[in-house]
Amino acid sequence: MSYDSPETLAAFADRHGITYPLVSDPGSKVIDAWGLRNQAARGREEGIPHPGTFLIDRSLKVLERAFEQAYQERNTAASLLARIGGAVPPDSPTDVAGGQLTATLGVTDAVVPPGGRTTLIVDLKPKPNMHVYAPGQEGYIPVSIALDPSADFKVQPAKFPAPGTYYFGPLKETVQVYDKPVRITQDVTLALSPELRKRATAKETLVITGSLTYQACDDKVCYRPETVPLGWSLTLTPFIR
Amino acid sequence: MRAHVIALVSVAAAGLASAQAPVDVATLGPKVGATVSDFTLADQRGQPQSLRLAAGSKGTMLVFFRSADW
Repeated sequence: MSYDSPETLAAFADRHGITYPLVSDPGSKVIDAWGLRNQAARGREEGIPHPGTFLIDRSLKVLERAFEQAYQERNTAASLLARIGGAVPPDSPTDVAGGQLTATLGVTDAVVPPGGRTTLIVDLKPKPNMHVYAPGQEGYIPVSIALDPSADFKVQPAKFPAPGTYYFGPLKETVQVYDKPVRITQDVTLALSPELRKRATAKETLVITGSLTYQACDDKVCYRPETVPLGWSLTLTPFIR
Repeated sequence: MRAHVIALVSVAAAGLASAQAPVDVATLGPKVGATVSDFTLADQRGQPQSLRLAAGSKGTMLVFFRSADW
């Protein structure tokens, strides 16, 4: 939705091959009714909203909202859906294996523009009889994901699902674990540097690397903590103003 | 020379006057859990659109953007 006329929106849609509805809010009436007007905007910008996205269910209740700090930062639709718990099958999945677990890696969007925010997915699957330790569990090495830092993107903290509990009789301890398949996600926001935008015009690949560290035990023994390398490939696409 | 200096000062002052404290966007607009009002407005094909009309099985995604014109 924007304050543009249907004709302006039609030209924009044609230029970029957009088929979903672009809604015309002339005079910014809905923008104002929803309290989103950018009060500092002047001239031709007067009436623009602070840009943001709402996910609204069929009863008109707001499920999720995302407002970026700068207009160029954009959550992708798939990334927002993954964040509110929709089971989104990841684009371009790849598998990695450790001694006591396997993981399927994916991303909510295989194609991302500079400034775009997308969700990296790690679908962790402990091997039979194994459990791994959830973040916060003391006394063991909990699952963690570390992305290799890059000037090409900034990273949000990884999101871990609620763990289950495991009672280990010999030590009489109850611990927080993952013992069945779980999904861990981590959002990255691509930079808006001129360098990245040039690479996006050339539709280059952006590779994100990192590692998964964990410790697994079965009902008898604990195994050495392990670090498994992770990698995701995204295709860059030009940022549309 | 003096005229140039005055012009520069005026432009700088105008810039300062329009600068505002940054807005906390988290305070704007309907919050998660709120119920919003629907609207009926034309889309790029001149067809009426509303949140209810656009909704799929999980609802509607509504993106507010600055402009398609510039």
